[in-house]
Amino acid sequence: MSAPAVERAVERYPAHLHPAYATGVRSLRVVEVVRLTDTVRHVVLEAPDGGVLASYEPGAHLVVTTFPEVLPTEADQTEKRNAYSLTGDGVNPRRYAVSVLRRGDGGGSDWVHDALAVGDLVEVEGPRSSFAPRHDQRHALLVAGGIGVTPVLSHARAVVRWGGTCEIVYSYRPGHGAHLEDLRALAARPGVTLHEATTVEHTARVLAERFADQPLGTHAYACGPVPMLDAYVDAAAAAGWPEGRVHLERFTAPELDAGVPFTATVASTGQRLAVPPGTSLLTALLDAGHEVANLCRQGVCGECLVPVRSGALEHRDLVLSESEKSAGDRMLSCVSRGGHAGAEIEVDL
Amino acid sequence: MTVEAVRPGPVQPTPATAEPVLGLPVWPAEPEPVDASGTSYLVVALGTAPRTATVAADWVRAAEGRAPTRLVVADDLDAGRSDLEAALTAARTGVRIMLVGGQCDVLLGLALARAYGAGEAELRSFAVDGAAAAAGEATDLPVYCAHCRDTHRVHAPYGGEATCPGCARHLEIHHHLSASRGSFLASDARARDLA
Repeated sequence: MSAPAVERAVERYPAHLHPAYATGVRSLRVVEVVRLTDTVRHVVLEAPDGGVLASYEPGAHLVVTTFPEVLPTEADQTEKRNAYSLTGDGVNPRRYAVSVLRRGDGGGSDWVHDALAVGDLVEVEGPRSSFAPRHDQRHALLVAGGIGVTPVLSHARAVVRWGGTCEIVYSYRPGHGAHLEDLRALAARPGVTLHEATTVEHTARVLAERFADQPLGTHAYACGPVPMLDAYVDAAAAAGWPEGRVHLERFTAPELDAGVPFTATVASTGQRLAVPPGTSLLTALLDAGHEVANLCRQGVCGECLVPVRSGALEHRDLVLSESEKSAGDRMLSCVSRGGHAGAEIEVDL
Repeated sequence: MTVEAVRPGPVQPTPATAEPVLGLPVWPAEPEPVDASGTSYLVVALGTAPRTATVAADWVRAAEGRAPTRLVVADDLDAGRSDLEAALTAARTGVRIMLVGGQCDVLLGLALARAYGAGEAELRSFAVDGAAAAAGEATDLPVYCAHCRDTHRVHAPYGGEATCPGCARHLEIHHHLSASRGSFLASDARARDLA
């Protein structure tokens, strides 16, 4: 092969050549839509050519471009990018499957329910791993609340595939237990047990009981609504679990107030940006022409992380750990702000 | 920036004057207190040193008042291995494991606990001969011979030389402690000599 031919190939295929490595923005075809409950729709996607899709770690999510009627931000925008957890075990998939709860707010999930049909092409990006199993996991305690069952199902399927053991706690309202049958089928296998809970009190009782009786080397993972995750963290602490064994993924963020006004200086240009209450640092940076990647805009996904050189910070995100927050060298620009009214911070962009 | 390549347990700032040598264990100067957040405790006393007994007794006294506490006592790790394995199998997450004894037994005991899934936040340890070893004295060390591929108890200082009890080679004990094996790497000190 001559050198120019190699150069041309590298130009055409900048990274891995096999299509199963593709995780960039691309179109997939809807091949199946299943109604799981009154409010949850299961959507299955395939590559248009039917080929192999990129593998993913359990708990990973797919970013789907949706076209909702009501958009949370700028009016001239017509699309929104939503992250949905994949429900498979992630090994050499030919299909990606997500389960979407109708939120009823005219947002992206309503578009999935109302507009999406078999045969449609949807734009996706990823999968992205943000809730992966820990590599030293000996046993897993998987806790799901409501639609938070989707990443938990992915973890459970991966545990079964690799011959591990896990206990699943599923808290749901009767009649709204999406994927309940899938979990019950998994629990019929050796090494997997399922505990179902249908009330808040029952969930708290099951959590306390299960946290107290897990073998050494267990990691716990939870996804669900904020009150359930709070109960989960409390139960873990009460059972003496070290922080490093307790993992969670949030899909809703608490409402935040408008915040204090502060000033951000862009280190590379010296440009000073005034950020008034109600405006995020992310919006200010984007308006000033700085390209900052972003996705959820509510402090959950971690996409809009910016490095910080100096200044007092008020962290309001759900991504950074306590030690990362206290280090003060990074912040999530969508929700976190200067530490007090009139604070000066310097972002390293 | 200081990087600790290997730590036998949670490290307290010691009044060390020099930088710690990478690859050597960093022992606390005094036994650490019992971690109050545990919901059960496993105290492991290995060896016959008088200090081992007193440290273990102090730990048990402090732990018993808080939560169920199990004590495993043995003359060395080999003698206590089956008891310790039974205790580790029965342990539930939320346990705090505390080992005391000579560092040879403690390092191998820590490796066994890790093999059963214990993480660093769940482990505390104290070597009664740790200070002597840090001062350069010969103590019993767990040594993995790269040639006969076995782990032996060898009396030598850190970085010292000794004859391998397994293959009789003259070994150099490297500043290279493996947390998962619980032993120091050793290799033929005369490997470069022609004769």
